[in-house]
Amino acid sequence: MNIKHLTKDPDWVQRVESVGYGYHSDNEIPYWIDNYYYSISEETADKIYHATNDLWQMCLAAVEDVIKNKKFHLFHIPDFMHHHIERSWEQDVPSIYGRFDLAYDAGRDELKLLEFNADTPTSLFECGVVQWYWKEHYFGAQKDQFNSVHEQLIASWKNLTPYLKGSVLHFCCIRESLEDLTNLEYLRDTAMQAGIKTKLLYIDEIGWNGQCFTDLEEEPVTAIFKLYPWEWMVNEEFGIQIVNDVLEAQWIEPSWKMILSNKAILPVLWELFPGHPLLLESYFDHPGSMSNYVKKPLLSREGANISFVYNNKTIYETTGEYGEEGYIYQAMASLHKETSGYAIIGSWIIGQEPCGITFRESDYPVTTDKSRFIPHVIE
Amino acid sequence: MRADSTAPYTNVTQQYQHNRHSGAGNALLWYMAFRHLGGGMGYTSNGLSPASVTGTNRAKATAYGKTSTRGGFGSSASKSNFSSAS
Repeated sequence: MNIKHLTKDPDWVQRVESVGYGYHSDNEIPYWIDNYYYSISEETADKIYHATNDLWQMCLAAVEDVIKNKKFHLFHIPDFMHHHIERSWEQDVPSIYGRFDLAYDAGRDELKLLEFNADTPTSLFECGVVQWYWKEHYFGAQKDQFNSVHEQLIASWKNLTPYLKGSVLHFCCIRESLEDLTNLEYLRDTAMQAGIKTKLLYIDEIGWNGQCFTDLEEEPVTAIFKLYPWEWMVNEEFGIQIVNDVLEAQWIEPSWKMILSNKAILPVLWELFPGHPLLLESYFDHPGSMSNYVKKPLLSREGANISFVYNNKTIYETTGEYGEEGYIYQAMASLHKETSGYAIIGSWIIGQEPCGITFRESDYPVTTDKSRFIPHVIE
Repeated sequence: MRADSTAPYTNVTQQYQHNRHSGAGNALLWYMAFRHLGGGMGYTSNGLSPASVTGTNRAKATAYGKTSTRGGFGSSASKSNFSSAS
């Protein structure tokens, strides 16, 4: 696995915008990298595929363990949501996707789970659409990509259709983010291609009529995909209505994903599968005997409030507004490093199928919203 | 309803039509069911909350005068410096 450079296409902005990609740069600093890529072998692609499958199965076992043994307090999930989570798990409320963030140590040929973005993962559009058209532009059919995101989304929506409540699937996100809206509209587009009737509304437009949630036409919401974190929803004014809803609307991702999107899942996984080659040693509240580790808040987003400790000394930390909910301590992973920066692999699971990867690259060993998206090919 | 039921539930509307001799069975049934929303007689108990019989039907909710409140989700996004994306 290494980067390879291409001759820069002077029209790359126009090209990516032509497929609907509007947030390729931030203040003229490219977020999308067009002129170099990660070259991976078929063996590496297979390794990521199998690792993703194994991690997904372990995560499902971990959810079962947390629910069965009522470990919700470890995740700081409000009491009123516990029963909702249990029911969403028992009723197998539809889930569509998630993205594992993996560290790859080329020297040891090892993949390690950094975290699981199980609730509101983005970069789906870049992975499924922009990256594919990039590959078609530079390589055509001559080279392949670990990428069946688009096909898998449509297939998964089709599989879920018989289990959706009501005749309309609502989609919602915040209104201020082009990135969120693009990802949401991509998901909605694939649902429509699967034959599902959909409606779009912004998260603040969701209504409550005393009985159930409603859309702007006062129609009841029976099934809704939300690109909005569960931990935000349950702490807002309407949060309590989630459990008072007489229609018991299906929220996608389902509330049991609150367990997997919380970093508390990392020490739970380590406890259930100690020493597993895909996991990093992790603990609640203390670093154990580790002297090289990363301290992460349970609910941190975009790399906020992370501390790197090497030889028991903090060598790097990020700022932010998280941490009141507690921390976990995870062994420091060896990240893949190129001259252009540190890279992690985002591995998508859609439905039950690993189906695509993204590379995110950073100047520092923390992935943030400024981290660059690097396309890849298998060769 | 059970498939082998002999209860004449499905004839209720027709019975109202028969009694009214006017073909306005549905309207009368509607009135009787929700009469306490606007006062008057009927078979529903005044002890019941109007909300308890409106269910999720849009027309009933309108009759009850209940419209949705909005803005109960989304406040975290405006307060946070972080995106909802991960």
